[in-house]
Amino acid sequence: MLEIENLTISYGDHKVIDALSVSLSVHCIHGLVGMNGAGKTTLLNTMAGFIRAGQGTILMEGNPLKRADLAFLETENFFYSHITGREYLGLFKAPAGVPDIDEWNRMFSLPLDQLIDGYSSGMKRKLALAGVLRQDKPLVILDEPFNGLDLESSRLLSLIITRLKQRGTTVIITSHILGSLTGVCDHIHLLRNGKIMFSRDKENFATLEQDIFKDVDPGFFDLVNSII
Amino acid sequence: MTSRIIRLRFIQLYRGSADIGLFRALFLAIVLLPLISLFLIQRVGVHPWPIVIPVGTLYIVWLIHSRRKDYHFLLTIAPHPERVFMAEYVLFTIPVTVLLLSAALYLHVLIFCATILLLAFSVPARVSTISRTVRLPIIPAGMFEWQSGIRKNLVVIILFYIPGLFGFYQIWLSALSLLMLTMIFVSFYSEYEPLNMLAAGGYRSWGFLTRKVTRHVGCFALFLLPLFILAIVNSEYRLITAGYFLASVNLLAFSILLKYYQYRPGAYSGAHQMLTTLASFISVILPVAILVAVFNVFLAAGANQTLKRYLNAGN
Repeated sequence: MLEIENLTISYGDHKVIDALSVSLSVHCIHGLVGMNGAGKTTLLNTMAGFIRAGQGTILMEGNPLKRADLAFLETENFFYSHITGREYLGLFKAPAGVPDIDEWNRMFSLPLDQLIDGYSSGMKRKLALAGVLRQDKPLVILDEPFNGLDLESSRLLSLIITRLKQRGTTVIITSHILGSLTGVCDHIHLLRNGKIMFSRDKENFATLEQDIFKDVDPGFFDLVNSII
Repeated sequence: MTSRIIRLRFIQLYRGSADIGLFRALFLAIVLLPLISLFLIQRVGVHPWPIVIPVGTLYIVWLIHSRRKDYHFLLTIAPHPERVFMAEYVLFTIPVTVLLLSAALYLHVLIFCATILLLAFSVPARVSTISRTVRLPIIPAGMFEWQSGIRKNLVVIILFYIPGLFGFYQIWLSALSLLMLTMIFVSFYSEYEPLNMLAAGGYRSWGFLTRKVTRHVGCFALFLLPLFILAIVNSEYRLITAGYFLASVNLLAFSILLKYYQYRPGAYSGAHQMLTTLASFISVILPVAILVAVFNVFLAAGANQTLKRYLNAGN
């Protein structure tokens, strides 16, 4: 199990994650949804070790989660200028058994010998994804991985995620597009005001959208209509 | 991993230098760098240069460190990004360390190296979370570079401004303060705004440029005015003091014009930062500052050409 217990993270006086506790089964695909500012990225950044939690613990199979246990794709990816895709992928340490870069790239079809500066945003996203996945870690965290991907690449990503699960990897994904999550996830969790409001299993995805929006104030729609 | 990253940095430098252009690269290598080196070798033992050289270098390192965007990326690929930072900064500052050692300034070297290590092992400010917004009602709404830059550098600006006010007592304090403040303010223009912000005012290229330069340079001159008055009142170097203040204002114009000469929507330019820092340092030799002023005229024409593509299209 991946257990998050009593996790609290604040920026100044503002509590972004508020005593969050949740247990996530391993070797599964978990989706995380929530409105902008709900705390999704903060939670993932904390799991990745980028942010130190004010209090609480994150345990994986009973041991504190270490940075070495996970591979993390951020919402916005960093690329050094004037380097090629091949040089970039060379920075990610791949364990024995992972195919070499050219073999790996057969899935992504990227022009690896060109400078990354000339890549489109979708190609950059695929390159970052290729690097993250090459590390072959037991936990893979993908923050908005479908952003900027075309239909074909989104399909490829869904296939890769499903394959990762089959190989025993635990995957956590966030997305604003509910459909992209329901297609691959085993469980989806709604984060609101720094807390997990509810979790749904695959069998209950049919009513998910309804459940997410049931608390939205109907006056909000009137407000939009009155402004635009 | 550290050696792999350092190797990549050298590859970046090599490929990036090709972007500067052959003539400018040759000019830099054959004329400017030897000129600056000669100047620094001559001055390293003379007060106040034993302080100005390491403090200036540390400021540049701090500037690079605080603007780093690769901290999270390095965390995902290397267990200790601090080692990468340390290796980069130590390599970058070798010439200054050698310069200080050549003048037998051992204590300076010790403090200099210790500060480099401290910087390398600190979390870059860019990734630290901003929890409070400093209100800046004095800055006009359109001067977003200043709003952002001052918020990022407020403490350092105050730290360098206060000693400058004692210029009437020790003129070198004023000189140090002026150099540092100029370097801080010219660095505000290394990030390029997106196209919609550029076009928001509805100006044509030349109108946009003249408005931007006069407004920003005017505000900078006003900001420096108290330092200038206090430095010139009791200083015996009135002409030189006036020259340096003009050079500072001129450097700000250089930074703005260079930004729009190289403008690419929403980009960040390391070359801009490097060139403005270099221009700030060489402007310490006042005749070179005049060259920068002449260069600004050509830069303005180039910036106008670049902006035409974005602002005059369809008109």
